[in-house]
Amino acid sequence: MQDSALKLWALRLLLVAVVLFMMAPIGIVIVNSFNASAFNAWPPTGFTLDWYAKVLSDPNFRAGAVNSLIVGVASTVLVLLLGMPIAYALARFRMRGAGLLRATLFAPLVVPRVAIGFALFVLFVVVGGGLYGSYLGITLAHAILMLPFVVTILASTIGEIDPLLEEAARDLGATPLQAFRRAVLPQLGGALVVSGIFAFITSFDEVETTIFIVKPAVNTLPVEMYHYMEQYQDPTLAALSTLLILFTLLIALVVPFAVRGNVLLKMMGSGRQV
Amino acid sequence: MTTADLGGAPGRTMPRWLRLSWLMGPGFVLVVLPFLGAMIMLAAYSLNYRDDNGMGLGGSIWREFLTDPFSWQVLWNSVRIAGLATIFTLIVAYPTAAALLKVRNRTWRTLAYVALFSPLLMSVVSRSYGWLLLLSDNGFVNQMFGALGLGPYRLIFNETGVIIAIVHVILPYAVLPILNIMTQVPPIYGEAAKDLGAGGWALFRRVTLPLTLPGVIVAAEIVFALSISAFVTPSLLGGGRVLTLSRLVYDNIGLVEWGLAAVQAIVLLATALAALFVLERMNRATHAGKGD
Repeated sequence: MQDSALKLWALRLLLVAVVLFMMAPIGIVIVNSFNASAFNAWPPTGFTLDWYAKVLSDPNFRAGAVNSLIVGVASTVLVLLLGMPIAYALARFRMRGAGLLRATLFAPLVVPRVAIGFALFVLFVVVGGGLYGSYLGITLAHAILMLPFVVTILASTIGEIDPLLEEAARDLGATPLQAFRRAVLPQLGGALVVSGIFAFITSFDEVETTIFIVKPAVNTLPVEMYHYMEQYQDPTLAALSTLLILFTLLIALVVPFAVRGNVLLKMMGSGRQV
Repeated sequence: MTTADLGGAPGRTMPRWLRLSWLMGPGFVLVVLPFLGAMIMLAAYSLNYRDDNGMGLGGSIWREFLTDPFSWQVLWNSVRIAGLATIFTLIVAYPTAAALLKVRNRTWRTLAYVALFSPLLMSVVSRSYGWLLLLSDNGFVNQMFGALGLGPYRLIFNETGVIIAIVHVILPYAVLPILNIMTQVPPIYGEAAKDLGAGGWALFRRVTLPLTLPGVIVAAEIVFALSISAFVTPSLLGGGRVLTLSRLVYDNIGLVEWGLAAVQAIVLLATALAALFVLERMNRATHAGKGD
């Protein structure tokens, strides 16, 4: 179809404007992390690496980073281990009441994260058992948020794998577990990596549920950042954000090597916190 | 009987329900059950349940919330902010998706995609901080305005800043479904309309927009749900001066008003569900209209 030159240029101009809008906060954060002015003077008054030194030596941020790493890895492993068999069952079994099962499974997607956070807070306080403010509690909370996404990605991938392969393996004498390991798992690698990375990054960034269930002693990094920013707005946050951008980019670079088909689109189509 | 049969036999004789329980049970017991338990506790707390007074349930907190004009004011704030953010986002996302599809050069297209979607990987706290720098009284944006002899404008600690920052977070989620449906519309429809004499505007209004409307509604569902439940962005960009329901829930924990926080969390959930319901009805209507 032929478009008028005017329309084409208008669309291009808009795209450039939108790209600038999307990159603007990232750009300014990176530049400001080297700003010598503690009051974020713009344009920057000079170049310094002091803010990086300050972040790296801050005990609260360091503890937060360690906590976030522990919870991120734990919740990712948990959600993959529990999500994979559920995805398999949803993809391979026709069952009565499947609608209800799905509705319960995907319910956390429509509940605002703040509501989930507060609900878990009262549950943890009532049940006790050291869930409130512990690694266990935060890991469970993150697993609740991530399970629907992980199951969706894995179930759609398993659905695309020919069940005949597995049946052939079974006919040749494999147990169900062996058949799964030999005939399904190898083709699931990409989806596992993508959903694992997605789960980890989400856990690593999570504030809106987590903030309700942490105690000051086990603040995760983003919650620590949130509280810091409520009080101070100096470039310490810029330096920390820049380090985090580098860290996430490093993890995300693995994605293009692992993605098959439109897994990435499915992943992006799912919601995240605002 | 061969050994092969023996190997396969135990799995086959294991009853279906048992296999399903093994597959789904652990996930449901360890993750789904606590979630449901938490939701039940939420409902209980909104009905006066407290640890110490046992199960003396009642609706007094609900009455208190629903009769307080302040609650309605905050609810309206939340809906207005989410609604405006959704509308602005859709207005920008639609032509952005169209523009993306027009980029022929592979390198440019990849770069545009990366620029649009990579901010998803950035923490919302970092992004709020970035917007605070950009929009502050003598920040980058106001200095640009100053160079043009305008401003300075108050762009942070009010709804303007909150909406700008929310749009930044939700825009990628709106572009994707619209992009998705645009690639599904066969270009032949547009050509046919042109052959029949439809001009640019008529072509868009009578052919392109109706065909892509379902994608726009899906986008609206996703981004409204994300904006109404937003917490970090309105808190940090609003600087405590923009009150939303999500913010009240958090504040009331500090004030040990757990019952009230529970009511507010449920109202937040109900609002999100109501919007979803309305948009889903619209979606059905657009599909039904296709028969005409």
